[in-house]
Amino acid sequence: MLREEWPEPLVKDIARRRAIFVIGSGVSRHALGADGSTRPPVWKGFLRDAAERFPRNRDTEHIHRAIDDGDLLHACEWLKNRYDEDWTTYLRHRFTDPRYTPGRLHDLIALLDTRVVFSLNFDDIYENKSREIYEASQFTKNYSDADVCEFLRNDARYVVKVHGNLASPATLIFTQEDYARARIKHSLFYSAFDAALMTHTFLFIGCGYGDPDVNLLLENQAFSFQPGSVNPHYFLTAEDIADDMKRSLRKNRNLKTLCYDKVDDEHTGLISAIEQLHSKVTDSRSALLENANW
Amino acid sequence: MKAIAFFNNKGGVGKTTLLCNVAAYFAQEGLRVCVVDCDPQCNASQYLFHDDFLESTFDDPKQNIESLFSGLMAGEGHATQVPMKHSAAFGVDVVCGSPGLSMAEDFLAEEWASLNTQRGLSSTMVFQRMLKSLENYDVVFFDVSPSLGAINRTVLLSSDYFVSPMSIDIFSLKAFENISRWMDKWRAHWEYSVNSPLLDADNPAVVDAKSLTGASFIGYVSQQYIAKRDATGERRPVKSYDEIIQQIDGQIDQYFKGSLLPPKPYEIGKIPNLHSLAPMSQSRRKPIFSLVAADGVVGAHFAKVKEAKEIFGEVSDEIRKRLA
Repeated sequence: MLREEWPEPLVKDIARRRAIFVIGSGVSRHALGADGSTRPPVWKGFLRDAAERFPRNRDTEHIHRAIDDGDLLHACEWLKNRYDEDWTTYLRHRFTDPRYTPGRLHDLIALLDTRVVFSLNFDDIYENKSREIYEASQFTKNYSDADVCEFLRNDARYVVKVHGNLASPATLIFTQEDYARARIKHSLFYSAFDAALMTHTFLFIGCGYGDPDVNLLLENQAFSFQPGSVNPHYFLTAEDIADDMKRSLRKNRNLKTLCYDKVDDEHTGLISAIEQLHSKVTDSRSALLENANW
Repeated sequence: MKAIAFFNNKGGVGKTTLLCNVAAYFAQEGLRVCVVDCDPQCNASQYLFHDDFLESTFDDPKQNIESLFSGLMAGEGHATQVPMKHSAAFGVDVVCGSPGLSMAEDFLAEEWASLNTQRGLSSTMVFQRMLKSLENYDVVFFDVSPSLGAINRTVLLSSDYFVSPMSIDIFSLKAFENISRWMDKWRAHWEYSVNSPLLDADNPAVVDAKSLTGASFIGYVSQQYIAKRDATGERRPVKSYDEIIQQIDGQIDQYFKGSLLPPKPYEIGKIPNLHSLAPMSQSRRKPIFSLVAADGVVGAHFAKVKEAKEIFGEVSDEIRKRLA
């Protein structure tokens, strides 16, 4: 359950499909492998496991330290270099091979039907679920697509893969180098992202707040207008974030933190929070049907 | 063959939507289904067919339900043929309605007043006669108007069963009291009249008439409670829905006896608010669960369409079970 009420402006924006969800590895985590126990790794856990492959010694210690310190992009870059040609196989081994089935959370996010969902995940768990629900009205766009910006103006449903997809590992973005290259080479996507942030309300679900690209965009916008004059974007988390940090997120990135009780290690509290959101949005859409004010 | 009327004297409770979708579901299950539109408002006909097709059937009384009455009203006896149309989208045969059917209201009321004559009796059995020629169907659905009038009395007299679609509100509480009083009254009148010594007991029509006792009640289908906030922003508690359901069951216990007391639970099923899918299905002339992208379904509404199929499936299965 959410610790507070869902903010009314957010509910209204979702109801009118003027909101975009950003889903991270915390959402994928709600899927379950065919063996009934494997779950997709979260970012940090994935890197830690990947580092296990090499003996821990003077040559590799800095990788572990980088992971501990949260310098995940460098850790990833170094691991990728070490894995070399095995990297793709290893990625698919972790994100594709276990044949993940989407969970109730995926269902609910799709049923909220925001029209556009940004996925930071390499797996295709959410896309599979939402295609099942949206059928012919859904398209998946990669950040590198020449026409990626169509999600802004067309009326179809879109899943936008912000960091690429395991179907084409060459386009994956997750090392320091990938980020820098993509920003320059695929600037179309970044302007579309920027435009989306300006015109839509974003809700981050199951994401950390360390994604460098997203942060850049958020900061650029947060400081380009009078503080407090524009509705915030929302950051949903179960972590105990210090009030100082919450204030910084709000001030520097115009991100309002919403906390839920995770209830258990499976984060069932997130599911009930989104269920609650779903019923609020359904009410709000019924009201829109009556007053036609969408 | 079983004949079922979908009947409630309150309008706007989703009666026609329920009937047409249940009929389509039965048809998909491989049953031979006929829908008879006995409501002069013709909502069922409008749902099952496009306007240009209906225009020609409305204009010609031989093509619609009026044909059952034109001969009768002219004193020429029962029609020999039932005008049958086929709705491909729903997979059912249809006796189309007509706004002109309202003329039959007065006629049937007058004939009812002379039940003790051969003619009055015969006219009142007009739907019984029609059903005889529909013997090759597995099930016949009657859509009727929301009234306690002569046409509905005539339909219910000849049907095997009736189902009440209803909304969960205080008006529905009163509805069952009205229905039971009305049905008790005319059933007693019928019983008395067909046993009148003035009638020739050996006449086949009289023998038929004696076998008719009127439709049995097999339960109600509720339009599910929609969570709405009241003026203070409070969510109306789910309790009030359960309370009304319980009161409705209490009313049924109180007012319906014998064959009018349905099997338990009295509630056959619930139809949730289908929002925009109901009008979309009406304008596309298709069952709700057959809607596709080309009809305008987008996004999460695909999930609603699938859900609708399950919901109508459950209600249909339960109705079918109760026909046995």
